[in-house]
Amino acid sequence: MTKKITLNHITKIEGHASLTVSVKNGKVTKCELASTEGARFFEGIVLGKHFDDIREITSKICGICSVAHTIACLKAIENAFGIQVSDQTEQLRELMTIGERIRSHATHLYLLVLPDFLGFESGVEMAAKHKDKVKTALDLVKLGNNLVQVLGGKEMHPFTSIVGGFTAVPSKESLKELLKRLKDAKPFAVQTVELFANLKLPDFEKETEYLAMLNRKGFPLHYGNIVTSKGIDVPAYEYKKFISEYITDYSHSKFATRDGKAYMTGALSRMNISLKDLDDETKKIIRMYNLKFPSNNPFYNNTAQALELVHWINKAIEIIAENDFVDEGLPKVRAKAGRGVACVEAPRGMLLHDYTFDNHGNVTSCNIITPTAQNLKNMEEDIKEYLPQLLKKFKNKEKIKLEIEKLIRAYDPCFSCATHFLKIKWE
Amino acid sequence: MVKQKNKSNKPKVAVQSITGCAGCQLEIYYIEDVLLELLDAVELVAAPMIKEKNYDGPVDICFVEGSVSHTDSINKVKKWRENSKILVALGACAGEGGVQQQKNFMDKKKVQAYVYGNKTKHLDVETPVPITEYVEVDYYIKGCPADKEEIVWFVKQALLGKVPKQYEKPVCHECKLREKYCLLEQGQDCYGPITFGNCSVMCPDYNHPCTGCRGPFSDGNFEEHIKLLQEKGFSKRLIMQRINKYGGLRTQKIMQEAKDGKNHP
Repeated sequence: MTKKITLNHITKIEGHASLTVSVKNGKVTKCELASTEGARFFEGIVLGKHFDDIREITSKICGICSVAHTIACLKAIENAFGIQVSDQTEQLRELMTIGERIRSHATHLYLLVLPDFLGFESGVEMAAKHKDKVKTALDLVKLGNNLVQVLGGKEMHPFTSIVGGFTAVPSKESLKELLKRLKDAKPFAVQTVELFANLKLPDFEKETEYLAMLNRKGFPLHYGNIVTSKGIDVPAYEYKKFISEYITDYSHSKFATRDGKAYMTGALSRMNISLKDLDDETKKIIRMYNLKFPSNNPFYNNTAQALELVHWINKAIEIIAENDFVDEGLPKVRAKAGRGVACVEAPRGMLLHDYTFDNHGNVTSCNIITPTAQNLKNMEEDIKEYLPQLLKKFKNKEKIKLEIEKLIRAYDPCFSCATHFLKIKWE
Repeated sequence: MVKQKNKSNKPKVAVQSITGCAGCQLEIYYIEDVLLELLDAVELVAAPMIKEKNYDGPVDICFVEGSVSHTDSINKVKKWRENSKILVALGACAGEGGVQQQKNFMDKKKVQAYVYGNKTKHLDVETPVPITEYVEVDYYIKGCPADKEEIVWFVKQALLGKVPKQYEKPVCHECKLREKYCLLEQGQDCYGPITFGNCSVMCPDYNHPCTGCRGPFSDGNFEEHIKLLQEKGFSKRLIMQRINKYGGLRTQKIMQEAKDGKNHP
């Protein structure tokens, strides 16, 4: 008997996607996770554009992780032109990215994931019974947003961070205020870990290859090689040696894979690869709640995100407390022909921007690999293995659907980001 | 889709989305301080990004983010129009086409082929346009992303039974009122004189020129501004790329009307 499960519009994720699964005699015969997001052709649109414009254009790939796109783009341009930014610029960028990390993880954990586990259809419905939790979420989101706004001008699509530096430096008063609020928010980050450590996450494990950046000086954000749990260790510009993109006939999606094989990127990968680089308090919390990393349970991506909240709030406190930011003036930038590649750790995993410029600084080639494009194949493989277990355990189709959705949401997928995605009809 | 359990008298609100970055929709959920109060004053019946259960029927206010870039979106937008008392274009994609409409000023086939190789003829792609190409909207909340202060203000007005008028002054006007130094005079290519204002964050406050995210100012003198920037040493090619960044489609219309003498009798 063949059973077909279709999720036409997967809710509570960023962007639009659908899933089609066929099951025959308890075995999955088809599993197609497709984006239904309209294509925007960013890599084609930036062709011929001036280097000063592409940071703004590519930041629009995604609302929730626009800072990550901004920094990846700027670093790629700077690599192409051979620009070394100041220490202050690096610190300011890091602070801005931390702001985004806080709001993105808080949004995902509290508004998209938690309602599933507490039995509500949405964060809005959850607010009636758990107002404190929704309030915590909104407070963390606000803190993250304010950090991005103070550093970047706007809380989404920041504009002050340009090639070589910043057009404006935050005032001492605004940073002092943020420092206080970061300290006040810390207990709520710890509470978030406690909340997710005590949730009964599904007992599902599947071995895969984990990919994250590793810089050996701290938990990864903007610097480091691309490293995997199966021995890859290369600088960003060598990514084509092992990441290949392929197209499927059901979704015209470029899936990023390692030689055709699935791998995972994101908070869980960062924990699995860079655990020892977390700050001491976060490590202590891991021991306190008896959390086990490395882990092969994709649902632990949620727990890993909660832990990152603590680590990054501590790091932001450190950056603000230890620095005195001054106006360094606008950088002088000289374009030159050449290629620049850079990757950063976005909230959802490794994000890579790759550009080539002519000698006027106009783009002649562009390739962007987003975390979701890399995770899709792994999500499909997880579903293939998880579904037969669910079929044995549950009779109710709705219940099975919800459990699959939980798995998909654990990856925190972002289909707006996956620029290559488009569902097509084949003639 | 979903049966309404409790019939409430609160206005029904939907937040829908087509092709975009989801940033405008997030701005709604990021109204941190008053979000819960706001959600208490209305009934959020559809918002697939944050809700599992989404109602398909008539609503009082429907916010739509994203541009029409996909054949499927045309019917959706028309249905939302039909089902909504007040339809709001949320942000630059819905109101102008957004950054993806830059494709309209390039070799479209080449742009598509660059990303999708030789399989582009099978794509279900529509040339990116604002939703206003297909439906009439009652209000347009400008910005990339849509300004959340304006979202709050709009909802409050709507709860009082009013659909406010659009704000119709350029960025440059506000910058002057605030007595800021002028980036244009400093030799930067600021697009403030030809862009709609009322921004809650002004880019020139951060020493960054206006790049036009709130869309072309209907009464802007585009020809003169292009000439001025050319005199300052910017190439026509670069100026046009930047003018077309968010709202090129409407800019072309405004410039054409000016040429035909419609704006300047």
